[in-house]
Amino acid sequence: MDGSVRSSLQGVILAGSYQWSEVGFDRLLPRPLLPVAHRPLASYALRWLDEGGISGAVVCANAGSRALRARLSSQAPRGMNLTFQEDPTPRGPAGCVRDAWFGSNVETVVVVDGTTIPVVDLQAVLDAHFRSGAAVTVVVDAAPAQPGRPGIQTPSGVFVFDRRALELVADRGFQDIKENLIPHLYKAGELVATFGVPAATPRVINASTYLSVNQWTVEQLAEKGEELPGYFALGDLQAHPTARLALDAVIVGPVLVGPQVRVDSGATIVGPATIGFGAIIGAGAMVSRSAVWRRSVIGAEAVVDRCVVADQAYVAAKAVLMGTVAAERAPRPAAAPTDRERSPRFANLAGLVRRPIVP
Amino acid sequence: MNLYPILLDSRPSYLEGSRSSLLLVPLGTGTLLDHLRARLSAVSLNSLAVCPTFEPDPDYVARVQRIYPQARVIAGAHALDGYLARLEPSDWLFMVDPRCFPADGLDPESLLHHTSADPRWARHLVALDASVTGTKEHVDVDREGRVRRIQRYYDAVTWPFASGVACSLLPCSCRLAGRELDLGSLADLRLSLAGRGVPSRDLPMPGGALDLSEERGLLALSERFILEATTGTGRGAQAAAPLFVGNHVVIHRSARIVGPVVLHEGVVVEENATILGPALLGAGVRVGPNAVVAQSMVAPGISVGADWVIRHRAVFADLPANPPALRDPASGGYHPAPGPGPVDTAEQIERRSRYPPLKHALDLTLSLLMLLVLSPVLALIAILVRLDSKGSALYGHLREGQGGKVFRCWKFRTMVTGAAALERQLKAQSQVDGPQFKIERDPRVTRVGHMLRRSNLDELPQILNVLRGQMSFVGPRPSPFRENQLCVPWREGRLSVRPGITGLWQVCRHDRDQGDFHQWIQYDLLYVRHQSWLVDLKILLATVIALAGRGHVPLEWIIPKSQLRQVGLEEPGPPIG
Repeated sequence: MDGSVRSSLQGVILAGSYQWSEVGFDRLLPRPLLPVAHRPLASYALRWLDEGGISGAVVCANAGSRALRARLSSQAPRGMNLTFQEDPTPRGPAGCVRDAWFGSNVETVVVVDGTTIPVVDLQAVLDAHFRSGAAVTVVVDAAPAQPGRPGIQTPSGVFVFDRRALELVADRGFQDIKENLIPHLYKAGELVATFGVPAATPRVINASTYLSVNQWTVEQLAEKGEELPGYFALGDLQAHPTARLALDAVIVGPVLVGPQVRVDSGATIVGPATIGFGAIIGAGAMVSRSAVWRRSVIGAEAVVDRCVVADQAYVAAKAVLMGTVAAERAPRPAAAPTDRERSPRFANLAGLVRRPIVP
Repeated sequence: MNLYPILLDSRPSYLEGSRSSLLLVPLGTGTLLDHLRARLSAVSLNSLAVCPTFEPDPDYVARVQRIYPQARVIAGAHALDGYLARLEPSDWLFMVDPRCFPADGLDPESLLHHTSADPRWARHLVALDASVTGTKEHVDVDREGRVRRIQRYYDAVTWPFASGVACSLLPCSCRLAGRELDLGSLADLRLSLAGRGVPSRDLPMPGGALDLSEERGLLALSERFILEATTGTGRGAQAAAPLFVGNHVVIHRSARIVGPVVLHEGVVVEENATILGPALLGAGVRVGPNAVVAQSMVAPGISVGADWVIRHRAVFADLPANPPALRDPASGGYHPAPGPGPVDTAEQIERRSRYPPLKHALDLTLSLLMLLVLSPVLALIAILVRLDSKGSALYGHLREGQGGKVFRCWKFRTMVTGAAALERQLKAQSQVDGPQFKIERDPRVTRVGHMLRRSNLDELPQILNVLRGQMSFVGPRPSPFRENQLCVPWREGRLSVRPGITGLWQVCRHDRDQGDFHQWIQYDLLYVRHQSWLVDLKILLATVIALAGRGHVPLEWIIPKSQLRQVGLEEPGPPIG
């Protein structure tokens, strides 16, 4: 796309949250900031916009704006112009997009739900949008029709808005895209088109989908051979050089090990799993298919399967946790970790990774 | 009811190349056939029939009867005709297709005791596409491909697309034919019956289904069985040592077994091998030295070679001599994990407020008292309303209460009968944004109605709702359906508590009649997050103040700023990790 068209494109990431829930997982972190493969969830939408050729984006969040700005500004791809917009009273998705666009001369706005990882080809969507002359293009996950069941199309969280659709959005009050804007456009005779994607779009709705998305992302990294900046890849394992892994630890499958992690003797990690900054996996423990966040401690001989271990959480020694969100902190300050089993040089770790033998 | 159980047996793609079939797959301490037989023996004394949907090997019958000697194997439409010929028209067939396996376990009783309109109807246990949060969205497209609207479905039951049928209860009186039963799946059978005009009833499966025609579905089911077998209670409890089913299990001293593992008879685990649970090794499996079997299922008789790594797979076929890496079958597409996901730890559940049950008890007692005290006032107002205009004294509008349960919200009738029809004509004059409908001088309101509204006395009959447990004294306003469609988190927040006669919004809002929709959302959500007896007491006091005409109360008085719960956030650390 040439530069003139590119400058008339803008991205909007809807990263608002209405944090009312008593459910433990929802109160840990605002959803756009959940660490997926060690990067905030909303940063995937940012990178996707950047790869699609969009140079400016507005992140709309309400209560979590400050936190989002603090975490995401460093994650923005180089060359991307990022602004943060907070709506003091709820404006709704369409309202936020309109406020983000108003006052600029942008012709087309790409709107992304901040809790999804878009997999669709943005160029293809934009081409289809311009070709059809639609006011709004909705990207849908299309499940094919089966006998006795019609084809189902679910919105995947990506919209492309033309300026004429945004002009119809009121400038105050709560305005929703699906309930207000689209029926309004249909009645006005404007075209709202769909763009189908055969695969489901990863989206985080709760703890279970968070784990699924986290695992899928780690698997994708391993499959495509991508390395996170600052990490070393060794087979399916990606570890930060400051991580210390005992020589007799066993790591199976794609695992992401963050900075200053300590994995003690005899521990096992079964992927896809992520171990966050500063976490400690005790001797003989097994962590599988889980997301272990920052500075958490997993006691010796514990078994942690399909869990989310939150920041600074503490899992007692010999505990068995399956399918749990563990967020309790240590009952008393954890004893200073002793550095007996230390493998200072990363090169020594080559033997410990149980790498599948590739033909 | 004389039931004849029939199990459909199939060979999904992951079983190609092995001699096994789905019913013969090892599960927990036995096979799937064992489990289903145990379940069905609770509802039927007749012996089980197995109906393979594929071309069975010559020794298939022998293998089935080794597990269950009285089983009849019926292969093909012709054999099915012969089987049906021996049944009476008053008999029933109970057909089970394990490929659509209920996530909560198969409960045949649910189909039997389901009260249908006519006990002679066929019944199907249907898996509906239920999304994890219960909200599902569907893009409604017209014939030219233009999007009309995006429809949200909130209740799993109202999502109208069935994704599979787990079991069917069919009366023999509906002239079943062998070729109809041989269609290959219960979903096709259901369609065929419907096409023929046989009346039937769908019972939605609570909790969704696992798709056993896919490897990940089978693994999820297998893990559930393994956990039950090793711990007895399923999730979260302390896992016992590995479970040995049968004798002659040989484990080398240096081998490691971590987590819940089930080992069938004759398993040999050689030196330095590692078995990571939840895992199942079928009879006669041999795990070579230094091999790793991580959270997988290995069928009977398979040998795992030295140095192999098997992760998250169900291995049924004999592996070749030079093993390639056994990777996840994920083809790059994203699939959410089947089955229920992580739940909070027990302590978090306990820490949740114990106030709601106490509030409910208080509501009931207080409403009873108020009803007794105020009954003369209520009677008087009722008489006034009836005198003023034709029609009943009370007006009950359907609203959504806690958990989405629909109830009638009672008020004194303040409008003329037939007002709903006039609403459409007047909708253009609605003076607030959002889904409310409020006009300054609504012409449909009666004279007595005006007085009642201004003094808020028309809300008094909601004490009846409180007495019935549908409402509470303090809470978000009970909302009509339309309003709830708009904002999903608002809807979820609102429906998690009982609606109230008075609430945060009524006492705190600044402008009485032109209350903006966004304020409404904020106050509702604030209330739900900060429930406590103190807040409720303050709101009640503020209501009295407001009714006495002293105006609104600032929010800080009810919920001080210091107590406003924000989501906890740590200091930002290094950019990644």
